[in-house]
Amino acid sequence: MKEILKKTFEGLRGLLSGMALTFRYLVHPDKVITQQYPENRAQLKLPPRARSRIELIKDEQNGVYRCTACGLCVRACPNNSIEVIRDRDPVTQKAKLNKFIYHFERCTICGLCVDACRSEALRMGQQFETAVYDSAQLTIILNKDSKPAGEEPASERKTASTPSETEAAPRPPSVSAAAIQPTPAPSSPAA
Amino acid sequence: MNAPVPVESPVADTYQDYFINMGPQHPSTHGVLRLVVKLAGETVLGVSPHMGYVHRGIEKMGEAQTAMQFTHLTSRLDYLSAHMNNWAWAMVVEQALGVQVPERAEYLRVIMSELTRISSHQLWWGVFGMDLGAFTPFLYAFRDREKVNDIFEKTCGTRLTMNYIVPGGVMEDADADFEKDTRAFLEYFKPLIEEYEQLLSGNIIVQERTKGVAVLPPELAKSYGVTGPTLRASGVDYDVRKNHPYGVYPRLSFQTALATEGDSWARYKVRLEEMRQSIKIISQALDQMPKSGPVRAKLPAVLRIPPGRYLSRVETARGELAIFLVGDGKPLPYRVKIRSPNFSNLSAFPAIIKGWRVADIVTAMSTFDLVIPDIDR
Amino acid sequence: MAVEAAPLKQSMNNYDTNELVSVLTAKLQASLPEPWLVDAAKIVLAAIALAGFASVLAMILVYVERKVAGHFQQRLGPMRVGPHGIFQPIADSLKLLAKEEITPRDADRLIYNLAPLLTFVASFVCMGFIPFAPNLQAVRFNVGLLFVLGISSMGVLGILAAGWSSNNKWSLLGAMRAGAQIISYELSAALALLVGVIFAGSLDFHEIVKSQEAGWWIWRAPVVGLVTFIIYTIASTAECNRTPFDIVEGESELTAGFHTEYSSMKFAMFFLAEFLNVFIVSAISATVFLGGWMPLHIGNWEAANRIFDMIPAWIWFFGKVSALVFVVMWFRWTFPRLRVDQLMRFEWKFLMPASFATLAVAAILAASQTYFFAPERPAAPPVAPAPTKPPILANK
Repeated sequence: MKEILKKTFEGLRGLLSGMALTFRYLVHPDKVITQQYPENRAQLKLPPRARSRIELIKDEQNGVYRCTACGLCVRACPNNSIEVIRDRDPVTQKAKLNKFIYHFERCTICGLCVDACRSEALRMGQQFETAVYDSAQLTIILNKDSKPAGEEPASERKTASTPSETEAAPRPPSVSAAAIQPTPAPSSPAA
Repeated sequence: MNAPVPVESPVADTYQDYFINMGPQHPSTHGVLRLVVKLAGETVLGVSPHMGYVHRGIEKMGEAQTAMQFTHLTSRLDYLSAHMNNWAWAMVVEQALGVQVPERAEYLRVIMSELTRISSHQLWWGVFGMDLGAFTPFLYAFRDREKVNDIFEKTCGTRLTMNYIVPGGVMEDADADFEKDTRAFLEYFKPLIEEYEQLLSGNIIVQERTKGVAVLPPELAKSYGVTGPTLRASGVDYDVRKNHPYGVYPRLSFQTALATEGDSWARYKVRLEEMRQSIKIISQALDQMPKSGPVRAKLPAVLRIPPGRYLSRVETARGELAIFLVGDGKPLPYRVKIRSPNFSNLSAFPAIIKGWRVADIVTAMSTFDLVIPDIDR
Repeated sequence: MAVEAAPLKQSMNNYDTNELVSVLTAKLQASLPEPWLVDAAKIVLAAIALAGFASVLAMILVYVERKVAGHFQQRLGPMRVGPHGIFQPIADSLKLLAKEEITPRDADRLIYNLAPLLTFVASFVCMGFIPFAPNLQAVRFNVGLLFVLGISSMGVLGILAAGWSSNNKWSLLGAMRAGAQIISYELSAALALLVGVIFAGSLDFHEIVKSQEAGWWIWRAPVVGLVTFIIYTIASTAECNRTPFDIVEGESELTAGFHTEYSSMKFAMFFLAEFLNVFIVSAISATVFLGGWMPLHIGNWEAANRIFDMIPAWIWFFGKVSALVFVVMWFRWTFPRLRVDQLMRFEWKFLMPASFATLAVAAILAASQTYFFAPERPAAPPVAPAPTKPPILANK
């Protein structure tokens, strides 16, 4: 009998203490963590490294894309999300970028293309509202001067991650030179 | 007070057996898993898991991806332990290539892995409450998990499939706020584990539903290859971080969370204790980490995997993940084999659930903490 | 049925609806030829009023549940439809009305269509007996409590019918569990209410409320009042299939239990019935243990008592019922659910013996009239004085 009573009181005490915890959250409405999206777009600031759809970077001085059409990103991409179509300059035989086709429907946003690029021409953008109604809009030509085909111009989009905003402060490439310096003793690059 | 109904008892015989499908779409199978359950009334006579609904052929894809490219696929195995999966792959490639990882990178790897462990256990706790019927713990767990996700987002760029630990080190150095944020999170979360205890562990209903239920005997667990907190709750002291140490784990001191009963309650307590131990590990690692330094060893542009066989094992939030790599000198591996902890854990499940009730299937599976994509790969 | 009871204190009659009813009856009598038509018209009008009230109530309860759930969980609940989501129930109702009615192919049609009706009717009829205010009670019945207990037991028939006719093993599991659970917990609930009947001395709701003039039974009966109230809260939560006793619906296991295969209006009726049930058991609990529409009177604090008397009786009633409904919701969003065999064991081995024990103690208390506050009944009418003999004169 004593066992039963003891168990009853212990049980009741545990139950009431759980109820007290939830009640505490009920009477503190300042602890609510809901964010009212999409009204809070202006306050929504993603961290600088947040990754989304890739973007080509333009050189500040002459406004030309830095991409040299070398094709390293194409080779680095795990699932052929990038296609680079190049022109060859007939005189200097140098490759020039004709079209940079980005298949966003295949991209896994892994960042290997940005990692592989040697001319610091690619970066991971921050635009996360990328849903479209027509899957053809997911095949994007990145070196069109403004926006991907089929999208409304940036001036009508009031998001925190409009391309114009991110282009104003170009993000440093993801692999900094310091990171891949050969380390003093321990590292031994593979044969 | 909790005892399984002996399935040969006259009680079970008076009912007609029938089969029920806890189908691929079910609120509580934690993924796309089909359980064909044989019932007599409410008593379970047998469970037959049918898996493969999320099979994506990751191991086969490994034969067509280079070493750097395969990393993003390992993130998607057991996506709640994404960093640890990446680490397993990075380790096996480094073993093959003979690459030494910089020290700061090793510490960053440990911190990221332990943060992932905490985050995974938080989600497990929330879902455990939800499977039992208490809907509130789910939201509390996700509230706390958001803090970990924010730390990840600042340093790694994404919240779920991070692709941060790569062969050679880590992708880039930690964000400037990393140490401050992580320490703040540890301060914030430590008292919250006590709140978790207050809400669920102190609840007599939870105790009644998990104590003594679905006991996993240690010998059975070992014979099925169960690893992780499920095994440690049965009293077997096996933790890859201690038994086959890797990274800088030998320099960090922590205790293995152990319990002896092997029932659902033990598995529950072991995971809560693991969260506390992870907090300890992270603060030690933050203290010991070199304040600056390289974080990525230089690797050649084309990584050819030397001929041979290589194995790496890590302790994910669910058990021992091992990656076995067979190389033949080409940049693409010959074979990648992934030993999935959830597969072995699930295989022990039908043996221990006989005689319990339908509601216990849900509870016990929840304490096994399965992630189905890891089973199917 | 002449009921012998002390006349109500004057304050109770401040918000008397007798006038309204008599005016209405007079109008009806003037316009309708036969007396039985008048009665029929009154019944129809009462039914319409109750139906309207029930619908509005269900909508309010749905909204409150979602908001309360949200705030327990550190989030906001509905916010978009109207300011702070006030029109969310309207959106929900429109959605439910517009949905497609899907009937499983091999479902037993007659029972499938009948089941939601059974459950709804069982809940709705009980609404008529609840005393909202001294004269605001649709049906005043001298065995009202017994009738309510009987009718609300019919609800389980609807659940069983739904589970069977859906042709779905999961629904059947849920329905079987419901059958076992509800009929078990009815015992404890009935015994707990019986304690209230013993104290009040009547099965009539009106009388039960009136007997609490001196104090509500929850604190007037020493210890037993509180214990019985707790027992009744637990038993009635189980009656309504609410967490921690919602294995019937068991959202994590059975998706939706017995009403998995129902959509649109039929589901709406189950939904409505569940919320009405919560309201009804809270109303009964408030009536029997918390004094119904009786205001709070604290001993001899005349000023405070007068202020309390000025608040209309129906506000007292709804305040108490709201508090109890809030407690039921609090349970739902905090506790996990019990397994079915634990639930049955809890009832048969723990709650029912406890109810019997409280009943026995209550009987002793009632027989000896050991209550905390003496009833404020007016003094017994003075006995006619014995005819006085003229004083014997000493020197007659």
